[in-house]
Amino acid sequence: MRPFGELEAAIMKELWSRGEPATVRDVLASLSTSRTLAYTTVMTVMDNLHRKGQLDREMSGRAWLYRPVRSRAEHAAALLQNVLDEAGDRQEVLMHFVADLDSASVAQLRSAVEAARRQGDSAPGDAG
Amino acid sequence: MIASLALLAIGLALVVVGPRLAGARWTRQAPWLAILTWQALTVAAVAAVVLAGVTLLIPITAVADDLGAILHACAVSIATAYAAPEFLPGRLLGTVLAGVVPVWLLVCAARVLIGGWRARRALHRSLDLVAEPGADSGGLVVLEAAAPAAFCVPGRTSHIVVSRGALNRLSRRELDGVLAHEAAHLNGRHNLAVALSEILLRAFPRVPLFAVAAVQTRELIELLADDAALEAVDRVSLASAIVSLAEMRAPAAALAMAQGGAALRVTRLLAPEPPMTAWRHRLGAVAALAIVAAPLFLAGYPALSAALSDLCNI
Repeated sequence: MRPFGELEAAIMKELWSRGEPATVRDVLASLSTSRTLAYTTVMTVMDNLHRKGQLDREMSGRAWLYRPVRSRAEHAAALLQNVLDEAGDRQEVLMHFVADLDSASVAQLRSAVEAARRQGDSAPGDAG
Repeated sequence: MIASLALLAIGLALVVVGPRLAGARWTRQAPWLAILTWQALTVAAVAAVVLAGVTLLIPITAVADDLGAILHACAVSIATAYAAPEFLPGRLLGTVLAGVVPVWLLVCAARVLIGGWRARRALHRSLDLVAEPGADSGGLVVLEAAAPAAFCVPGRTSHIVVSRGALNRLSRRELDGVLAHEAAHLNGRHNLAVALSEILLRAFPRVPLFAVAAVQTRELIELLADDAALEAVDRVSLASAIVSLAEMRAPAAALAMAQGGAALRVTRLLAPEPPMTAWRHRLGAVAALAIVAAPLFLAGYPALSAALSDLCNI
């Protein structure tokens, strides 16, 4: 999954937070509060996002109305799936809390943990 | 010539004997020292081979003209001490070891570091876009996704990420353990140790020492992070967190290769081995440094002894 560029991300964020389709002019108006942007710049980026399958659009009057193809939650799920698929190989990029284990040893370890917990409960003060 | 041969022998010995460290029990008692030792072993092996190349190339007529015969005599005596070969194969080997190997290492280092930096930047950007800041402080962000996962992404703005699926099924104490473990990775800059082992593995993928060192470094940083996390959470809760996350991911893992790393962590948390005594710890650190110093000393010794000889008494 290719990450969004900086302006692409700002546009996606804006469209997600609106929750309804918006024109290039709408998006430009919102983004312009924090920076100076040309209409054509925003139009080009939104057109690119449409071509990449990230935005749907339909004609309304004389302007395109854009909306995200995937919700923010769907995007989060896709990102996580991406991370999990690459797991293990790139530890200098990200470090997982736990690597995969087969079910048999997981069950074994669970019973060991529960045994230790009971022991800890029966001998308070030695829990650390 | 003797120095070159000795250095090559040291390099070879480290490559052959080095991987045996993997089985040593003390590495679990003192993961920090073990990581240091792996780094010393791998760096010394490379340094010995590169220095062997350098000593093959010490030129006979390095300094001549103006400074006069005294300096010339000194240079000759140093060069004689190394007895660098005049014949072509020796020169060629020297050039490869002293020139090509370091350049190749730099290329691999650039690839690993820049590639990692790019991947992290992309990940940070995506996370900023779709992850919610967690209820707690401490850099925790939540990914609204059912798949269970917990990981950290180092960098100037680091992230500790827990998915909603994992968050819902971890107890408060378990979550504390996860966060403390990941924070230890970030604070200890464990990714740098991994990056170093990764660079050497990328440069020489067929040398078993570097493959073993990379695998061991990955396992050892987990032990290190567990030990650090114990300052914030008790052993049983941390062990329970590891098992809980493994349970959530178990169905997907049926296909994946079973890994001993997590099992070792749990066992080690539940039945802690006594920590290494302070003097053994210090002795180990000195030994690790000696491994790195040995090639340097071997390479420098002939020059040093020649420089101290009469010819160099300027």
